[in-house]
Amino acid sequence: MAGSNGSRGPSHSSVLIIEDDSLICKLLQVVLEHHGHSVEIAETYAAGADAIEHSKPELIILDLGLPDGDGLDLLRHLRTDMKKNVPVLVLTAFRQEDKAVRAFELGADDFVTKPFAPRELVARIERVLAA
Amino acid sequence: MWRRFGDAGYALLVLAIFTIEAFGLAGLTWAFLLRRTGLGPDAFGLGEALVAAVAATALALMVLTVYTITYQVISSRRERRYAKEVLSWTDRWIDVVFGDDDLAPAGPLPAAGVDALLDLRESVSGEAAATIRKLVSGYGIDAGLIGRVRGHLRGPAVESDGTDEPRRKRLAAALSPEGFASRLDALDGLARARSPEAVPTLMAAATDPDPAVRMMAVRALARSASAIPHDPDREAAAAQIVELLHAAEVSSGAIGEALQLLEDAAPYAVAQILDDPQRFGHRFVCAALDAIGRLGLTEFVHIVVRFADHRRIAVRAAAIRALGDLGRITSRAQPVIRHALRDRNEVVRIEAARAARLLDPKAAVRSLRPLLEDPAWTVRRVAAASLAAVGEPGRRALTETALEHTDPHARSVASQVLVESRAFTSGEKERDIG
Repeated sequence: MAGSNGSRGPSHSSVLIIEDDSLICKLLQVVLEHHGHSVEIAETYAAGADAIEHSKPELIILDLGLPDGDGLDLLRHLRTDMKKNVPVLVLTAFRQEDKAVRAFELGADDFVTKPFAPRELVARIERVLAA
Repeated sequence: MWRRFGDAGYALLVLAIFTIEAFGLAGLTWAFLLRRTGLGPDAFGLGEALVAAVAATALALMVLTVYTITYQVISSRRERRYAKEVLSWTDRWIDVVFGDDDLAPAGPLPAAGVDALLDLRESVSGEAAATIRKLVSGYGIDAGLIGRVRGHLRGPAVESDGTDEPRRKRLAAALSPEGFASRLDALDGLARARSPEAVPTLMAAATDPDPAVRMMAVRALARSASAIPHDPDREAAAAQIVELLHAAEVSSGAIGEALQLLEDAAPYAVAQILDDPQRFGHRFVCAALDAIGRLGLTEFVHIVVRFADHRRIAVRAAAIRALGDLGRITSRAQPVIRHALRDRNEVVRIEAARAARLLDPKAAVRSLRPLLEDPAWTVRRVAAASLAAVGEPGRRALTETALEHTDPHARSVASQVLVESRAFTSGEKERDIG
């Protein structure tokens, strides 16, 4: 498999992807399912908040630029209002590390810059899940 | 988006409408002339000519309306069908790139297959990007796009071998049913393909007489250069692009966009411009400073501060904006921001007020509070917004200003920002409203 280590990951977790770009969603879904994770997709802020509440994901991949709200606000809502400690991996645009820093301040566990290397992304997910 | 199809039909329709109108108006003019000279129709005959002319106009408008509506309906259906095809190809390519088996389809690929592969190229980096790049080359997509751009090149960029080959090519390109749209499509495709092999062709296209082609070529060039794998080659390409931008007449926006699209190669280009600001001029310096801020090139902070007291307002503002965009005010930049808060120009003060929210809270409040009395409303507004963003000390300063300041403008802007940021307690809000 190009772009990944070709081996199944150690854990089989449920991952919620909150991202409005259908191509990125599909890409993440294929890569994560290949590594044995189950994937749920939410394409908006509202759908994401709903899925967090009802699906109880073990990891969230959160895009910061959602069509109906700011991903950072959703992260804040997740940590302060919903009091959820589920690990969050943030997706940011190229060279927007300042947003990643803000996300860390709000309780994100890691970040990946788009365009991303699927192999690196899987490694980061495995590390966050193992922590 | 430029027109992709229907150009010939539209041209024929416009010709038909002009012909109908010309006949109608000619008939009417002829009838009036005959009547004026006493040789022609009576009032009844003139009335018929008038009715015929109005009917011709109505017919022309009707045909145009029907065509426009039909075109929209057909375009919309085609676009939906095409989007579905792209989606289906995307799934297929993801299986090819990330699947365990070799599922690559046989070429040549349809347009939707090419678009889907190039879209995927945009989304990934690392090994997956290298795999896609191999596919792009293997199917001859980049070579085809380069060929399409070269086939349409005009002006001095086309090398002549002494024959009138370029002239024939230009004529063929002008008469091509795809024409301009095809050229822009090819440039857009090359921008997404990020193929280093396209750099020489794009360099030539960046000097095209058409500004839209130049703009698209510069964008594709920057993206392609960012994909050059080795540092010395990438540095050389970045340097060439800067020189090309300098020589070509491209807008300030295009310069800025190109610098940012260079991504990892951008530092070379930025350094080249800021090393010789006199030669490149203030438009390039501003674009380089903006690129520093937007790409987070913190290694340039010591150079950015040098431009903070530049004689040109735009350069001073760009320098301060860059410091703010970097997201962190270093100890070297702090006095520069504080000095800029007292700049004689309000544009610079606005940028400084925006950046000052990144100072430590005490320093930010101390620096921003006086700006609530600034003569310029925009500066007062940005300073108040920055104070609200500072946190509790900033909101406290705003509340005090809103309730107690002697200047009504300062009170007004402070209360406005507090209400917007929902920082008032209900009691304070009532007092303010009261």
